[in-house]
Amino acid sequence: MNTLAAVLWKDIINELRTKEIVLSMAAFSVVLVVIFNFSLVINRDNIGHLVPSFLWISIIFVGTLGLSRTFAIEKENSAITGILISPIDRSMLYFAKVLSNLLYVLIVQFLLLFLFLFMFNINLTGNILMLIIVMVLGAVGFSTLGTLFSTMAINTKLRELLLPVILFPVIIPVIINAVKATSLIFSGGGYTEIKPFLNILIAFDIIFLVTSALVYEFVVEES
Amino acid sequence: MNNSYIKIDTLSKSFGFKKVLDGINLQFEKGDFVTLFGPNGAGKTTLIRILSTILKSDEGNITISDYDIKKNVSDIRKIIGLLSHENFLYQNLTVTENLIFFAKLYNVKNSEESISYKLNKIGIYSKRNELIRNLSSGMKQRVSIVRSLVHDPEIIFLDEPFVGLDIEGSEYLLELFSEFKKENKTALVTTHDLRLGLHECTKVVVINKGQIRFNEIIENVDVNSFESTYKSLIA
Repeated sequence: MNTLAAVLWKDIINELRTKEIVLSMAAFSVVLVVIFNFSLVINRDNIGHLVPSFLWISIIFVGTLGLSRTFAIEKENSAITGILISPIDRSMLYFAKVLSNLLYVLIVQFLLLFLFLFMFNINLTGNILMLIIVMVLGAVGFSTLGTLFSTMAINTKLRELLLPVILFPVIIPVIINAVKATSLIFSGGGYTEIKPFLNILIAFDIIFLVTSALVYEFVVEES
Repeated sequence: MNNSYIKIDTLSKSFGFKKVLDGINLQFEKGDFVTLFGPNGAGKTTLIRILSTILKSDEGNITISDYDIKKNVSDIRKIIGLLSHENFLYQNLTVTENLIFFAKLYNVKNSEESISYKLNKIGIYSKRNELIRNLSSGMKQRVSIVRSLVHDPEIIFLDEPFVGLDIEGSEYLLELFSEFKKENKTALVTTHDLRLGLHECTKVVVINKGQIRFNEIIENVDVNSFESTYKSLIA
C-alpha cells in the first residue's frame, strides 16, 4: 500500500504543479464539443442516440490523450526505470497508475458531460445518479486497460499512434455498453432497463482489472 | 553457495547482431571497490544495466549475495543502488520530494533525516526545496547520487558518476567512496577518468569489445604507469 500511495502522491503533486494533463485534456474536450455542436443537429428524437455516442467517443479520444501524457512523464529522465529497479510489487505500481489515470479521466469526463449538456442545451431529466454510476464504470474500464496498453507502448517510437490502435478494439465492449446505458438514461429509461448494461460493465471492469494486474509485471519488465 | 559476493559467469549479451558482452567472467568479494575502465562502446554500461536488473542477459549466470539474478530479482533489488547516465528524477518534484518518493519505494522509514544528511554530504542541502527542472546538470547528478543511496544499499553500481560534476562535486563523491569502503560496501564504478577511478579502488578491471582484458587487485597495478598499460589494452 505504501507503494500505491507513494506513486499516486507523486502523480498528483506533479499534475497539481504542471496541470499539463488535465488542461490539455480539457482543451481538447472543448474543441471536440464545439466541433460536434456545429456539425450535429440535436432534437428531441435523436438526443438519446447521438449525444451518448458522441459523449463516449469524446471520452475515449480525450482519455487516450491523457494516457499518452501520463506515461511520457515517466519516460522523462527514464524515471520509470528508477521505479523498476526498486523491489516494489509491480501490481501495486499498476493499481497506482490506474488510480491516477482514473482521476484524470473522471475529471475530464464530467467536464465533457457538462459541455455536452450546455452546448446542446439539454435538460437532463433522467436518473442522474445512474448516469454517474455508468460514467464511473466506463472510466474504470478505460483506465484499467488504458494503463496496461500505454505501458506496452511506452518504449515504442510510435507510442502516441500505437496506443489507440491497440486500445480501441479491446475497449469496445465497455464503450458499447456505456453508450447503451447512457442512451437509456437520456431517454428516461428506468433501473430495470439499465441494469443488464450495468452488470456487463461491472463484469468487464473486473475482468480487465484482474487480468491486467496479473500480466502487468511481465509487460512492465519487458517495456 | 559460492564464496564470491558477486559472481558473473560466462555472461553474454547481444543487441541484434552486435555482441556487446562476450563471455564475461568476474568475481568480486564483499567490500571490493571495483573500477571498470573501458572505451566508449566497450560494454561497461550494458554490464552495469544487467547487474542492476534493468536488462536481461542472453547467456550466463550472475549471483549477487548468493541470490541468482534470474530467480531472486526482487531480493537483489533490495540490496543494490544504481547511478545511471539518466538521473531517474521527476522534473516537477523538488529534490526532497523526489528522494522521499524513492525512499518510500524501498520502504525506508523516517527517511527525511538520512536524506538531509546525504544532501549535506554531497553539498546540495541548500537546494533541497528546489524543483529538479531548475537545477543544473551537475546538481541533478548530485541529487541522483543521493537517490541511488537513499536506501543504504549494500552494493552500489555507479555508471560514470563523475560526468557533469565540478571539482567540488567530484571531491564530495570521492569522500563518499571512502565512506563506502569504511562501511564495507561493495561498489562497481565505471569511468573514463583514470586518476579519479584509481583513487579509492581495490580492484581494477578493463573491458574492451565486450571482453575482460585486465582484472587485478590494486596492489598488483602500477598506478604511475597504468595510463600506458590501459592504452595498450584498448588499442
